[in-house]
Amino acid sequence: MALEQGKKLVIKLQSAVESDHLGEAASLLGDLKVLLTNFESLPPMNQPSPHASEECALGRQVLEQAVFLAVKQRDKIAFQRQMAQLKPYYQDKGRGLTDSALRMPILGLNLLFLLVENRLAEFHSELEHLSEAERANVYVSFPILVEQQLMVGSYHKVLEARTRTPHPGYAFFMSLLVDTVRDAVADCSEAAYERLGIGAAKEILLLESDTALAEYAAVKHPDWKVDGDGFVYFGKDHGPKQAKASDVPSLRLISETLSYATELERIV
Amino acid sequence: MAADDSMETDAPAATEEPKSSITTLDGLKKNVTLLQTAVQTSQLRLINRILRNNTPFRRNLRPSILSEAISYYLPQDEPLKALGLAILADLPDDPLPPPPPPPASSLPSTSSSTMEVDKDEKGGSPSQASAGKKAFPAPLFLPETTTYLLLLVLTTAMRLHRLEQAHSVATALLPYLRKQNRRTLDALAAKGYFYLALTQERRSQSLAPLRPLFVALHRTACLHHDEMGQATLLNLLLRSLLADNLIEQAGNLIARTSFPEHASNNQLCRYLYYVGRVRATQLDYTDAFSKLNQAVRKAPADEGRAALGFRREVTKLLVIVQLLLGDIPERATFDQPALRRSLQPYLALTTAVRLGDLLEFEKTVTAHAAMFKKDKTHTLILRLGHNVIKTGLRKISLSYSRISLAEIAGKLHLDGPASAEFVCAKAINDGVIDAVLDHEAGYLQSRDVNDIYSTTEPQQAFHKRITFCLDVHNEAVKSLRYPDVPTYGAKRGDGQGEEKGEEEKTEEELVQELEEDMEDEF
Repeated sequence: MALEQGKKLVIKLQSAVESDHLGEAASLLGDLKVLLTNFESLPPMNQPSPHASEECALGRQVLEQAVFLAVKQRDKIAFQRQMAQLKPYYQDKGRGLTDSALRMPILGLNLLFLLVENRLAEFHSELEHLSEAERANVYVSFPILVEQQLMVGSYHKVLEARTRTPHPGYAFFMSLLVDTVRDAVADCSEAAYERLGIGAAKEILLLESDTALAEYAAVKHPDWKVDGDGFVYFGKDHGPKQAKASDVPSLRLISETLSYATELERIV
Repeated sequence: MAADDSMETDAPAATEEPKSSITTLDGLKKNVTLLQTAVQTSQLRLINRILRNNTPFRRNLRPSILSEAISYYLPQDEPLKALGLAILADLPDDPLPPPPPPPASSLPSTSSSTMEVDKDEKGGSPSQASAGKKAFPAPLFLPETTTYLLLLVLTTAMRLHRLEQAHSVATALLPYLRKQNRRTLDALAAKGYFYLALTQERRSQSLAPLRPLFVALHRTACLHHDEMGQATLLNLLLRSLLADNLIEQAGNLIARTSFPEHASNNQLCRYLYYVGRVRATQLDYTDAFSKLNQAVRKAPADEGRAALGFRREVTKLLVIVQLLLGDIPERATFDQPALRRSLQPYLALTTAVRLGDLLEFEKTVTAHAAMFKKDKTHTLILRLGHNVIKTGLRKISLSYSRISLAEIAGKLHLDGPASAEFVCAKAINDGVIDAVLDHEAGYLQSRDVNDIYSTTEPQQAFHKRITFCLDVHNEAVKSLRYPDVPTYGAKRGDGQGEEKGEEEKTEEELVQELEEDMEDEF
């Protein structure tokens, strides 16, 4: 009975999410989550029940929609939370569930999210779960490709990829990714150039206008100097450094020498 | 005191000439007697030694002898006894060349060593010894003996490829082991858990259903300060998690547990390998490298077959991690005679990376993809792509003091100067090359090489080495063992030299057996 009700609500939720009625979807999701707690085979009870597989399928469906909803709401924290709840459904193959059609897009979304957050260790841990065929899936291969481009440093390719997202849900994270990429480019430029023409800097950092560039420099890298002569100086002294008194790590040296003394004492 | 002395003398005597009597009933009897002595004096070290000595023993054991021992040493009402005997009866008896006829195989009449021990017990602990020993030396019923003999049943069944039977022994042993609460049983119990997992795996079943059990057992082992159990169970858990690619969970497990300090070398090796594997997946290559390196060094390193499989797996992973770190593994790694053939694809891979040739690299990866997938290194290798570019870039930057971006793009098979510019910028930021880019003129200018001796680098390297040496010294001091003072005094008169010889011999044997053990288990 509760199952029937749940199924109806899920369909409503799905259509609400798809038609961008976010407020309605959020309230439906709240109701559904309360409903889910009544099912015996799902958390928090985890008891065996005769309808286990149906209940699991329903739970999974609700959470999948919740993930999409979070993306549409542009809510990273909610996305993470829903994802964490959804993952057990994907990993636990013993419940007699058939694979969900949405599994691949959602796993891809999660991978992209981890990239945006620069959580590469988790990104690769997630990848280990996937089989060869799954990795070749268009939804998953997309974030994998993006990651490889990021690692090599082909940042402009990452930005080109923005236009080729395989799923509308990816757009939100790709827009976030631009910020991540911009920061990475800024760090690299700082290390690689002594100075850069303002025009080139704008192009490399993907900024629209001179003022945006000045603003970005002021907020993120206060040591940069955007000069009147048409160059950005990265304010880093690239010449060989002169040894200064403060460069001698005297405290470390003292403690190391003392420890040698104690140890030698012990041996003698 | 007197009892203590006799125990001490008894112990080495029992291990004398283990090789000659290995397949006979006497050999088995001696081991059991030694075990009982160890239990009664609670010498955990002695038990560990029995387990180590066990390897050549269990390889040559005949089921008939074992069943005789079981009917003698196990109490009549023990359900495990029936199980053990039933399984042994089912085994083909003669897989080995027939042993020399046992000198005298009927137990009660010739069990001189048992008698001796019993006599000693009379002095040491009268309550136990007087239990039913009048004219006829009744055996002592100890859970340790039961476990030991059943473990032998298990290994014998495994040796004869009766996996199902072996597994049934392991499963039957489990509740028995959990019921007991004896510290002297811990080491044997750990073996039991290990074989449970091993048989489960050999029957090609997932370890996943056993995981909750192992977690519970691990908790108990921690509470009991049972280091052997902790180490074994932790490794089993890691193994099962890694088999299912649950890297994140394995990482969490490692972060929340600590590996016991005094666990055996074999377990430590395994642990290091698992940790290395997890760290490599999580991109912590430096840590992975140090762990895997330790694992290789601690694994038995002779040229023979000892733990070959283990060394092969670790070396493969180590090569990849080294490449990911941007280092090129030494040529000697690939030239080890025992490993040369299996490392060949990895050598090809290394060559491609070293040349910085992306096309060659991709060719190698596709050519050996199946093998890399089998080794579970494929995903790691795919990450190497950008390292190839980096190595290529490093070579370019070393050879040219100034080179245009278009040239770089051509040499590295990149799409164009713009792409090359980003790649160079990233490489500079990552510290791969030391150079400056000039955007307007479109070239890469290498910077003069810094004199490393003007930095604190050498000093830090020295510091690392000094600390290492001091640590080695301290650990050596800590692990020195001295004989108990009274024993030492009492023995001084009679045959000190002989005892020393004995000691050396057992050391030698020990090393050898350790290696055999490793090889056997991997």
